[in-house]
Amino acid sequence: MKFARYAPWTKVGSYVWLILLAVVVIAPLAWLTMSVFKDSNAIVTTPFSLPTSFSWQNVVDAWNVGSFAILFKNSILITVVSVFGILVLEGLAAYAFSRLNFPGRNIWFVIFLAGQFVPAQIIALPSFLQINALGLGDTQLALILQYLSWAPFAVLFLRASMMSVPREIEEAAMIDGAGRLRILFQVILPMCRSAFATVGTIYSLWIYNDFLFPLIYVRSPENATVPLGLSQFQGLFTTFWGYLVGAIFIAVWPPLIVYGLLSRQISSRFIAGGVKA
Amino acid sequence: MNDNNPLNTSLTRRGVFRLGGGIALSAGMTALLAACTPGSASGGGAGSGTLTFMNRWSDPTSKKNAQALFDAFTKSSGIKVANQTQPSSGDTYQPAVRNAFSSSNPPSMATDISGPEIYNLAKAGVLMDLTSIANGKLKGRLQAGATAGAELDGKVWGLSDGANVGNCVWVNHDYLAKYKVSDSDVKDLESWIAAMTEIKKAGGTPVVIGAKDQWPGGHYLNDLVQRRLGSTNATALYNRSVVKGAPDTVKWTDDQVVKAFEDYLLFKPVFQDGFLGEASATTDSLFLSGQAGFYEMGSWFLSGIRQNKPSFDIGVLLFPEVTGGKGTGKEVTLGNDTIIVSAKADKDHVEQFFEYFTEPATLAKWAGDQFIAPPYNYDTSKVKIADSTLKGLFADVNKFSADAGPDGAALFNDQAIDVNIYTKYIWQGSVGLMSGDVAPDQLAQQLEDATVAAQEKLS
Amino acid sequence: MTAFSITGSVGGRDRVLRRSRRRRLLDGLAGYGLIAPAGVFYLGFQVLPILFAFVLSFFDWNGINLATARFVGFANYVELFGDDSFWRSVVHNLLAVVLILVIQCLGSFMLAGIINAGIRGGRFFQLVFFAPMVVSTVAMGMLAIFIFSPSQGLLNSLLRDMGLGALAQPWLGSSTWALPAVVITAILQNFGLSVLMFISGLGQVDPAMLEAAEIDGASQATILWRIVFPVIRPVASVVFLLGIVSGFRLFDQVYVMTSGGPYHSSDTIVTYLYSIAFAGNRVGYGNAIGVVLFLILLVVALVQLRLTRGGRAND
Repeated sequence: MKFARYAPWTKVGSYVWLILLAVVVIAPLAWLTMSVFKDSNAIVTTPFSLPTSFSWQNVVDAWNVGSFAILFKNSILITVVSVFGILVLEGLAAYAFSRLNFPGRNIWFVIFLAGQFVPAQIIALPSFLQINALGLGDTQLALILQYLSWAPFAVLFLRASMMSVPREIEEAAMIDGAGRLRILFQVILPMCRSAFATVGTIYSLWIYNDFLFPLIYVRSPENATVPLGLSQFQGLFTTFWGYLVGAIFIAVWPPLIVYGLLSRQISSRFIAGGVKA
Repeated sequence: MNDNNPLNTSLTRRGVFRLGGGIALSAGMTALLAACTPGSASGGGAGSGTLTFMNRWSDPTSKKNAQALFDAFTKSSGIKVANQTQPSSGDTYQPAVRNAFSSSNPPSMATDISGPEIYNLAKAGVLMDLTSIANGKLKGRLQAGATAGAELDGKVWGLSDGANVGNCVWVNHDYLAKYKVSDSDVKDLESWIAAMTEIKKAGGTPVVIGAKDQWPGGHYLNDLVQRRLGSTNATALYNRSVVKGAPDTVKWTDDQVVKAFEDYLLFKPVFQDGFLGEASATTDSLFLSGQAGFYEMGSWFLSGIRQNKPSFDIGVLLFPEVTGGKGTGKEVTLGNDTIIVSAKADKDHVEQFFEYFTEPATLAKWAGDQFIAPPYNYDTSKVKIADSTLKGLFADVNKFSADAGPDGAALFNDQAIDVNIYTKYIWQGSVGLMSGDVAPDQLAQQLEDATVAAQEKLS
Repeated sequence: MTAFSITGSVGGRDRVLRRSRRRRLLDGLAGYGLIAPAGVFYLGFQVLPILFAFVLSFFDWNGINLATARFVGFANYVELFGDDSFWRSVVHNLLAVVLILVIQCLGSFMLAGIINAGIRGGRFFQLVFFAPMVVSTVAMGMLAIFIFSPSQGLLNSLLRDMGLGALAQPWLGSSTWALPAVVITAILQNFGLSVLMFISGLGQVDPAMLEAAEIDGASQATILWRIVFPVIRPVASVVFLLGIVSGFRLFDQVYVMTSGGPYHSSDTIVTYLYSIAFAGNRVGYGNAIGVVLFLILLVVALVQLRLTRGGRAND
């Protein structure tokens, strides 16, 4: 039901609860933004005081010292290629799992799902040995190949979304003589636009922020990604807070931009009968 | 889209395939392009005149210092060095070194902690035997400790790039003066605790610890066990979990060791409130901003002091003597950073690097930059440290090493003991002692059992 | 627009399928053809290493030089069975799962519902809840360490300012509070994800139908049950399944914030695995833990799939 029609107390309660939750959720990030402008020592000794001046020094230092230009180039390239690949590959697979009836379908679906249940930590070492055996050690291609294999969640979610598309639309199209692929592209895809945007956003985040696989595969600084770059500010025994918060501040912008671009798509609705944004 | 016929475009099936194929192709090409961009794969020793050097000098200051060293070496020898800094958290760095050395293109050289990490790598056959280098070009340059924790079966598998003194106690003289406490009050453990108790009663913070991170508590156990057993026996005890056939004359369940664990409990009332939940990074800053009197931390703390100069009068002491213990108050704990070499590296290049590194001028600069003591012969008066406070403190630390004598040093427990044992029983155990989850004699028994099991596995 | 029933019209489907056996063959080929591209990458770079990892669980290996791996049969599993630290970690994960299901899954559904209903500032709230996801889990863990710091942290400072200083705890150093603190931080970060998924799912409910039902005088409960649930059932089951999986796979926040402490009271299965296989050097034993975790989750997922199969017009 439309929010406007909620009972007044329910409305107030909803706002209160939402605002409280929002404050809790945003607190760490607000703290981060505040700390960016503070001196390194002040960040730890007086963490909740307001910054005395609006100095961008931390950000500038972090960018230079951390060679963020290279890190961004690598991270963005890897993320874009991988996410694009995932959407294509898993989109096709999800369609098959949700709409086609082929022998062994359920078994294959469980196989595709099973990867989600294995902690990445135990495949780290075997995967490293495999990549080395293929001669791809310390390359960005190795990372892309790994990310392209992250099928489970995408297949799961896209399939769920496709299953919510009413059969009647599909049947009408089939009666009209359309082939499977055509149905996929012209009927299912537009209606699942929001799901694709969701999966795209989520995977962008996961891949961009992934620390484990770059740690394992990459050794040369030229192939490093942003998360590896962040970790260099945790020295052996001291943490360089000023650089670190500056670096975190730098690192969050690409994902925020991606979210900004895709959020409209995520909340778009496409029901049979027309587009509703 | 038209309600009646959703398929009112003229996109044919073939068209779709073409489109899909095109997309896949372009994605593939982009991926290949990414792989081919310069910077992918620099092999160990690939191409004449390059050494790849994996290390954990990743924070801004250390990275600069290491790069300076490599550049100077390149200038002198013509051999290039690829500086491969890695994230330096212990939990991720040591596994990264193991991985790197078991891959098909290992780095030429790498830094690593001494002890079982190196023994394991040596046993696996992935390291270069450095005995001939140590006895050859470097003969006469090595001091005691240069190969500590890197010798196995009479062979040398690594050379130190510097040692830290681990059992230091940093002092805020101004803070203590407020409570009428001075260095002379730290004669031994008993008097030290007594002085700190007085401070706590007066409402002050005598000492801080970042116990949440577990290893700070491990340090205290290290210091106390060494004071109770003496360096030789402590080393004998630690070796039982990593050296095949090590004698078991010293046991974890010995009286002195259990007493050491009980000594640690004496600190509970004097640590800051909530110490079990505090991170060591926070306590570093708490101390450096003048909010505590004492701080137990190794000599690497000098880099932290350089980063955040304290505004108070800062001094350093060695961990005090424990009355009734077999060790003296002069014995030091060493944390040794060792350089290991891959079996696949170019021996000649490596030899040149070590030769260059152990030259007195190089050593003097390296020591001053990194606040570390490389165990080789050089003129310590040539070490340049700009800041007078840091210079004084570094001199104090070096004096500790010098005064300790030949038998007065032991490796850190978290370098000397098998990693599974020290993380589970020493690190976590130190927390458990404080939280009351494990009693000193229980912990001792657990350690003894685990050590016996480890020794059995070795045989 | 044709009025259609939620469960799908069976009769029309039969007609279409009975029409052609050739169609079924084509469907089979098409099916495999469509999952093949994804399958190649997935099998090659996920499944293969997973199988390798499983094989390694029958060996004793320290991670250097594969040739030195020693076959030990089921010894690792036998040891695991009697490993108290492991089973304690399992309990911790179960606790995490419960917290996640209640707070994250149910909470995000209610939130998504309110936002979807058009509360003012809905897009803004959506962005706010999503924001923590943008920061890496490692960075978020480090920020959380500050918030929970006993001497400097926001939480204790607030409590003291409100006069509730007696309630101040050494959060991450307390055996009671360390685990909840870590789980809450994880929930905080993934909350936005669940909200996102539910919003996406709710977006597929036809508002025209909702209007029609309201005009007909149906109660909120009926609307929820007969109209909304069937449409979002697949998405909801994904959210719940992922909540359970993330509860069992909890690692990053624990690792950064407490390393499983104090004294193992916040150890999860994966942090324990990590300390053994990665930081420690017992790859075989660590992998055995991974296998057991996998089996636990497989059972959970199969049960969940079975429970949510009824009612879908899909076979």
